[in-house]
Formats: sequence, C-alpha cells, structure tokens
Amino acid sequence: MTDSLVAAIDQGTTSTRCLLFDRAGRMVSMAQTEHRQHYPRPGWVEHDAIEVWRNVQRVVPRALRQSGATPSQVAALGLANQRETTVVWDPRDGTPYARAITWQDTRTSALVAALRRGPHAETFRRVSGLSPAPYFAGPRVRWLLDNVPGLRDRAEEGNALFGTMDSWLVWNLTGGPDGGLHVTDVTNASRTMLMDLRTLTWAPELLATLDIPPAMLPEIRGNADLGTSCRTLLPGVEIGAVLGDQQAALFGQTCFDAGEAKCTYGTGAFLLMNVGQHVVDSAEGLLPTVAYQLPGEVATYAVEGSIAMAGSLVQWLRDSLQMIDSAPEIETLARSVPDNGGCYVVPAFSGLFAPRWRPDARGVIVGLTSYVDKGHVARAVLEATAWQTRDVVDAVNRGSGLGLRRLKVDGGMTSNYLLMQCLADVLDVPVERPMVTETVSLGAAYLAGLAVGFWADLQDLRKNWHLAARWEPEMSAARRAREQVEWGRAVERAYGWSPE
Amino acid sequence: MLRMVGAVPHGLALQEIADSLGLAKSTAHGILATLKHVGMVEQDRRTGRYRLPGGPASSRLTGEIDPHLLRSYAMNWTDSLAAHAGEAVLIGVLADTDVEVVHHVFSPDGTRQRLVFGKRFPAHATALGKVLLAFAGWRVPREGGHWLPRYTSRTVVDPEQLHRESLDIRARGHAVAVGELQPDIASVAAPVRAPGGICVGAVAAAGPLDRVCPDGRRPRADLVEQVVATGHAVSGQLEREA
Repeated sequence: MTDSLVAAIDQGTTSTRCLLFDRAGRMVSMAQTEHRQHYPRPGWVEHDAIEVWRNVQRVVPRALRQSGATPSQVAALGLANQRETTVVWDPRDGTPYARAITWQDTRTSALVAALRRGPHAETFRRVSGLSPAPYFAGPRVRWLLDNVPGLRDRAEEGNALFGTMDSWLVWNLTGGPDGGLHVTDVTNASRTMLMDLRTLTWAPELLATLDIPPAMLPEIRGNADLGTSCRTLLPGVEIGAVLGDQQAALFGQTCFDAGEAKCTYGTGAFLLMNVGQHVVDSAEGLLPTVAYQLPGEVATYAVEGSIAMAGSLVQWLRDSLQMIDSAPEIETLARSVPDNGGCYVVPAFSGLFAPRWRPDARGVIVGLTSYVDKGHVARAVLEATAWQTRDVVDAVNRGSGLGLRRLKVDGGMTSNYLLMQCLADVLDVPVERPMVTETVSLGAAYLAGLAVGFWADLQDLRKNWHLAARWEPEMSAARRAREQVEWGRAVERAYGWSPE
Repeated sequence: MLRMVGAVPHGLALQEIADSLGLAKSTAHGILATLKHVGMVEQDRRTGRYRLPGGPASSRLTGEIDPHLLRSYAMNWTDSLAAHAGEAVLIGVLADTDVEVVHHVFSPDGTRQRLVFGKRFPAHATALGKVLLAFAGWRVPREGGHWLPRYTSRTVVDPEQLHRESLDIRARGHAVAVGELQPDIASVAAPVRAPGGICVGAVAAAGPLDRVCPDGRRPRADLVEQVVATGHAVSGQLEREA
C-alpha cells in the first residue's frame, strides 16, 4: 500500500502536533507535544524556535508509529502554523539570534504607535491591507534589528534570515544549513505588514519604512507551490502545502466559495470569510488577508475578525472566580437558569478587538440585581461569545456585501451545545460542526494532498466534509432584537474605562 | 449498592450493605459476587470489606459525571467512530428508567438529520439503555407480572428476560438493540467507565437495521468492535483527565 496517507503538522501557539489523514479525510493518528512559553517581561511572550523544531522531529515519527505507517506511505506533508510569530536565525548553523517573538507579544507597541502617528500609516493600510499593529510580524523584525547587537550587520551580509514559523520549519525540513530552502507562503506573508496584498510580493516602500534589509526575507510562494521535498524526517516526501493556521481551518472547513465562513473557538475566536478573488478593505475594523492561492491560480482572499476572549473567559470563571471545576461544566451552571436574568458580561479584559477596536474598553458585568445568581453569570459569559461573534458577522456582512448564510464552527468550545444553540439564535443562521474538528491540520493536509494529486480537486474535498451536528435558530426575531440592544448598551458601559 | 460502597472510602462489610439496602445477606452476597466478578467492586483481603477498585480517590466519581464534561472528553473519539463506522453516534446517561442523550454525532451517510439532545428514550428498548441498566447493576422490579412497555414486536418486555440479558451484556461488554424501539433501527452500545470502573455513561452507534445488522439479527462484528473500542478510548480519556 503506497501513498495512502497525508501528513499534517500543526505548529500552534502552545503545542506542535502531527496528524495523519486517509483518502476520505478521516484522522488516522495524532501525536502532540507542548512547548515552553517564555514570559521574560510583562507583555513579552517568546518561544524557543529550536525546541519547536525538536518537537516537530518528535511528533512526526510518533504519529507514523501510532498508525503503523511508513514514510513511503505518506503522499505529502502539509504545514500549518501559528501566524505572525517571528524568528531570525543564522543560516550558517541554524542558530536563532533570539527566541521567537510570538503573536501575543506586545513589545513593539511603542514602535507601532510611532508608525501610526507618522506619515506612513496610510501606506501600510493601502499596500499591505493592514493598519500598523503590534500583532504583525514586520515591526518585530525591526525590533530585533534594533535590539540584538550586531544583527543589522549580519542581516546585511546575508547571515541573518527572517521567517515566520513556517519558514523556519521548511528551512530545517529541507536541509537547514545544508541548502535549506528559505521560503514563506502568501498567507503567512500577508500577516507581516510587509507584503503588497494585491501583487503578493514584498513591498519595497514598506521594507524601507521599517528599514528591513531585503536580504533577510524569504521568497514568497503560493500555498501549494513549494515544489520541494523533505530531506530529513520524511525524506523524499513532498512538502505539498504551507499556510497560516486560521487560513488552514478555513480550507479544512472547505469554505471554497465567496460568502462561506468558519469560526474557530479556542482561547479567543477567529472568524474568516472567503470573499473571493478581490481584496475587501478593512473599513469595518476587519483584516483583509489571503485565504489561499492554488497552483496556477490567482489568490482567494478572506476577511478576518478576531475576538480576544472566548474560551479564556470561561477559564477565568474557572480559575479566577472558581465558579466551576472544569470549563465544560459552565454549561451545567448556565442551564440551571432559563435566561441571563438581565445580566451581561463584556469581556474587554484587554480592550475590544474586531470590529470595535477599543483598547480603552475594560471588562464589565452589568445588570446586577438580587435576582442574579451564578447561573445567570455563566449564561451571560456564553452569550458574550455569541454576541461578539454577531458583531464580527455584522461587520463582515457589511464589508463584503456577502450575507452569511451559515456558520461552520470548530475548536474546543464546539463541545458546548448551549453556546452553539445561542450562536445560532443570535446570528439567525444555522451553525454547523464538521465531523473532523481538527480543521487546521485537515486544511494543511487537504492543500498538500491537492498539490500532489492525492485528491483531484476542491469538489473531491467537499465530498469529505461531513456534518457532525447542526443547530438551527430558535429565538424569536423580537427577542433577538431586544437582546442585541441590551448587548450594545452593555458594551457602551465598557468603553473608556481604562484611563489610557 | 455501588453508590453506597463508593461513598465510604475504606469500604463496607457485607452485613452493613445488606442492612442498609434491606436485602437478605445471601442476596447482597450474590450481587456483590457478581460485581466483584466483573471488576466493579473489590474485596479487601484482610478485612473482607467491599470497596470500589482504584482506592479512595475513585469514590469521587460514583456513577455520575457532569454530562457536558463527559461530552467534551468524548467528542474526538465519537467523531472518529461516526466517520469510520458510517453511523450516527450517541452518548447517553441514565435518568431514572430512561436513557438521556447528552451527545449526538450525525451519520456521515448524507441524510438530513436533527440533533437529538436532552431527549429521553426508554432504557429497556435501546442499546444505550441496556448497557446502563446492566452496568449500573439495576434490576427492573418484577412486581406481580409487571411487564415493560412494548414498542415493537422485538421489545424485551419481560423483566426476567431483561435481567438475563443484563448478565450477558456485562459478560460481553456491549449491548445490542435490534428494532426494539423503532422497527427499522438497530444500535450497539458499550459502557464508558470512570476511573475505578464505574459505568457513568454509554456510547452507541445507531443506524438503519439492514445496515447495522446485515443478517437482520446480529450487528456486524466490525461495528461492535469499533463501538467497544470507543467506549474504552473515552474511558481512557476520563482516566487521563481525572
């Protein structure tokens, strides 16, 4: 039996996983290892890139062993990765110049604030599609150039390479110091603030503004256009695809048509809608981004809205308020009451993200009366995730001119049936959970399999998507409208609380 | 009985158990012997007292688990079962004499389906329910020729027959219901156990009778194997997360 499986690596924020899928898109095995989070200063979050690479080398053979497969049965490898996390390393021996600066790290705040005040903010928005924010990779490269002694000289000599996690791993997989390929893909590059979103090439004026030597940049390629094979780990296996994790989830959910969207509910929540072959501007507080680019085709774009707190709010209820023993038990508590009892929670712990972007907001709990008990608070916590999704969906609908007709969901919180029903109720569209909830890995596998002909076309992949559960809207229009007004009023109470 | 035994970390003596439950000592002994045989209680060699396997810690989880927690631990395994078996998958817990569905994964057969959640089914007519009755050590009362409700010609309505089937289910580790609630639906179920061995729920695959039981009587062997393996996998997950 040859070529019976596709392997996916999901290099995530907290762990690195390897999953194997069969031709029907079913998961065959999975291996996972967590890596250390480094918090050297408030607001700094780092990963050790060497540790991450070692974990990749660990999980791939483990997943193979579990399934009883040999590398010769693997038709292709797909890689999905945490986005915006920045690595700079020495190509002569593969040593990173510093720990990887992750997407959660806010050390570039001052640098970005200066950019936003300066004359170039509009250029970044127009060319890269992104208004300068500490979230993106570009300013992190500049920070490293400014703060790692000697790095700028090394970079100009060609002895310092920049990459997001995908570049770092592909370089290592293809030989490292011994001829490793220095590339990235269009989705990861679209999160650097350095790429022209329309031409899909590095933008010289943006590089000049941030004073980043072009010599350190990887070559940008289509998601399934790497045309290279592993030299280690899975020797000879083609690296069929590389893409950012949220885009991978969109692909894994088979959102191939404009207007199709998915939302991943983890610590935070990420909603992406496929908007077709044209960039949709970020006027509504959403991020335009590349969804994917297939070989020989033009890019498909997406808009993205992220919610800072979803699962993390439930964790707060568990760890800080100790109202529940485990996160899933919030559902038991919330079901102990029929409604929120007039209580609303706005989880603006570090401001509000899309589409409101209010860094001055802080969390509030409003509507408290003697009637309200912990069941109502639990319900309000779940409803907050649903209403935040509604805010993003409204913005996406306005910005794209496409109306969301159903929402495909994945991530750990999809095990919460009450939340899923609440989502269907407030969005007024069906909410659908696919049978394979490991959509990030599945998306990477799908693209890699397409690249090597393991799957024939997008239609072939759609056939693999199976519905595991579906929640239909049950709330009356009148009640939905009333609740939306109440939610809006609650959000207003959160504005301006932070003195900053 | 299990709940009572589980509530006392160091176990109970036979006489205490018989007295508390108003059973003859010989009856209590018979039940305990069965429970011991299937590994649901153990007997201290020195004191002769009965307790749950796995030591005092297991008393935390005697027969009940938060259904939402159970679902979150089970979800990856049940998805995988539905994908590989090609049938709908359900998780149920005992609610009085009914089984309550706490998790449902649609069958990937392309038919239009509705989420069955919170719905109750008569335990004696479903594979899920039969597993729960069997492993909870329940004995349906047999007062003066009292028969159980009938739903189809195949429903087991004689409590004595159900009891014999329970013993069989415990020995085999899975239950089967073939057209016993609805004439054209068959299901296979296996127990989900908490650390210590107590059955806290059941997982089932259910589908059209002719697909689940190609011979019209018995479920296909590979399906039984997959359901039992999923029961073990979810139990293993509970063990790891405990």
